[in-house]
Amino acid sequence: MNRREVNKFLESGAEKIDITPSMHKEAVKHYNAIGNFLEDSGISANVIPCGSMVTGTPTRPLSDDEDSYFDIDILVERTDLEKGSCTPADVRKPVETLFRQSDRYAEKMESCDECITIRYVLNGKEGGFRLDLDTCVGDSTCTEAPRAPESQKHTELSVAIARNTTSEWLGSNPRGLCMWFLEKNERLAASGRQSRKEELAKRHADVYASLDDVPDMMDRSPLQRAVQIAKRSRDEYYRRADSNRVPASCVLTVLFGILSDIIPDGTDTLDILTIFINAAAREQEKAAMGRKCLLGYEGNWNLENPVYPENMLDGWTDADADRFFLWADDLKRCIYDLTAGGARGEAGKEAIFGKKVVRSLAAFSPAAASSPHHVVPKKPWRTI
Amino acid sequence: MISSPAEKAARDLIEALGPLNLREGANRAIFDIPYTLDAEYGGIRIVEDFGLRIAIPDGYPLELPQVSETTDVIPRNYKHLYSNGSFCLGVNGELGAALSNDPSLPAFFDEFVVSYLYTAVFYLRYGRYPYGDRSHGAAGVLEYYSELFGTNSPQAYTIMRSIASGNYRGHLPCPCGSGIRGRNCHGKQILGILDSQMKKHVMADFRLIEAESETWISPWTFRPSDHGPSCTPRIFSSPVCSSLLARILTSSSSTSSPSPTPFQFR
Repeated sequence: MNRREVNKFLESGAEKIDITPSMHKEAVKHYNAIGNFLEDSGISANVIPCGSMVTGTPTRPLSDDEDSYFDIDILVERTDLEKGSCTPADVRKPVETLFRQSDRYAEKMESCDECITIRYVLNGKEGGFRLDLDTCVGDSTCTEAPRAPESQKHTELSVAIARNTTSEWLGSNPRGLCMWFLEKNERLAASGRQSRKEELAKRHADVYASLDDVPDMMDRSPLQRAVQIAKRSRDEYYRRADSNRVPASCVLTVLFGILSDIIPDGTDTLDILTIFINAAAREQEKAAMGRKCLLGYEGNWNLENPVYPENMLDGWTDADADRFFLWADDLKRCIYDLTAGGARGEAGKEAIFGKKVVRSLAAFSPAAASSPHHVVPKKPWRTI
Repeated sequence: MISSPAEKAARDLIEALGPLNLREGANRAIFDIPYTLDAEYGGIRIVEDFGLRIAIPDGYPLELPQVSETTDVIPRNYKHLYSNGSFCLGVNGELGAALSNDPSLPAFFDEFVVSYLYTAVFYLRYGRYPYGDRSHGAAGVLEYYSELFGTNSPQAYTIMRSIASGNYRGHLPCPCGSGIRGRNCHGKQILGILDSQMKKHVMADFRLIEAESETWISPWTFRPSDHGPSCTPRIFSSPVCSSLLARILTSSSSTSSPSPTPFQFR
């Protein structure tokens, strides 16, 4: 494949793992309904999406089933309570109890320490989605400003999240992080937005009656596509490595957001991925030499949250970092293999998106897929 | 000149893989071939280009072929390479059994070399062995025979010893220590080995276990009885049977090494 074909393939793959317009519309309808339900039940709360749905980087989870679930993060920010005058239990328990007692939600809900999950099943092959509800209150006590000056305006969006099994608040700023990323994305998204939305309206006329109905949240810039592809490749790589020490999606989103500052206007998805891969390689070299870098600082792996005073790599070990760099290097090889084409290209496609997605793409070539030798597993051995 | 079975093996290989660059070696024929691995296991496809060197001994198939790499896809510090760079394809008995059943070199290549290359590249990329690997030395040998006989390591050892010493008798209790007559237990497997070329490889593997143990425990006072049931307690009660022997004879039948630090992909 030439580079234009590679870029087209990557974007097709990203679209395949993206949330569909109809599913997105359903999700919006359902979280709005949750807001109305709480309000009707006497709880004042802003029910707001955050995470990948807002940053425009959702990816379908890896699954052998057709009906894998999208996880959509939702903040339920209580506006009738203040952090200083209540406990996490005061914030979360009444919400959880309401859901449990509701004919509408009791069957669909699950509760864990982190969040309340409402599960929705859609018909057909689109699968379903889960709304992960984080109950929280605004956190005006978070006064420590993030290091980047342009991020300080997002501090006011900080929240204190109520967990189930602890009386401690979990401080965070998921909405601020989304806003930060969208601002970074805007320069790279603005120029092509109109034509992309027109294309979406045309292809999904069953969902969108007109161009105005296409929400910005469904537009995907090359930067957003690159994040989706990186996330998917990460999932496939760590599945193959049988490792659960997966770098968090928010870490990847922040890395791409930081790199966006050096990405020229008009850069396509393939080149953005290449910039990310090259940056990862440079970070690895710098870290090996003990120099200060984005991902490593004075021996501790560190990535500062641009909108909240926290290290997003807290708990990362050297082994986690090694694995991260191996993954980035493997993504580089996969992209190179795409350009090589043939069997190598097919294997590269599968290593990025997983076999199921590649098979479902039009570019899939049955001839190339049928050729691999099926390995008879034999264990290597040697004398001492 | 290559002897007849080796010559046939070479012809088969040329037919399967295309023109080869033949070099004459001492008592063996050496081929250099370009080879593209395109293989899949567990739904994961791996494609990689190699230059391979295959040495076919005159004594083939009784003597095992050796394979090494002329490219540098696999780093020299990869765990499963011999010091001369040849691949650790498997336990001798396992390789010998395969060639005993089918002396075709292409079949051997498809089974062992493809599996080896796949596992090596998989490890380099993902930091684990897709279907495990064997411990080095005697422990790995016993892992293989434990799988073959469906026993634990001490039982596999006593069966191997029975084969090596030639004292198996079907009417006597099985050397595995089950208490059942041999003919009703592992007899069929044992006789199958005794009647085939595989006997030579089992004996070689048994000697390897003994030699390795003697290296570490001298003199190796552990001599389990032919009929095994008491061997396990004796191993552990022996004052000289310290770490190595205990490790070898108590290793589980299919242990894999813990996932080591992955190599840096070049």
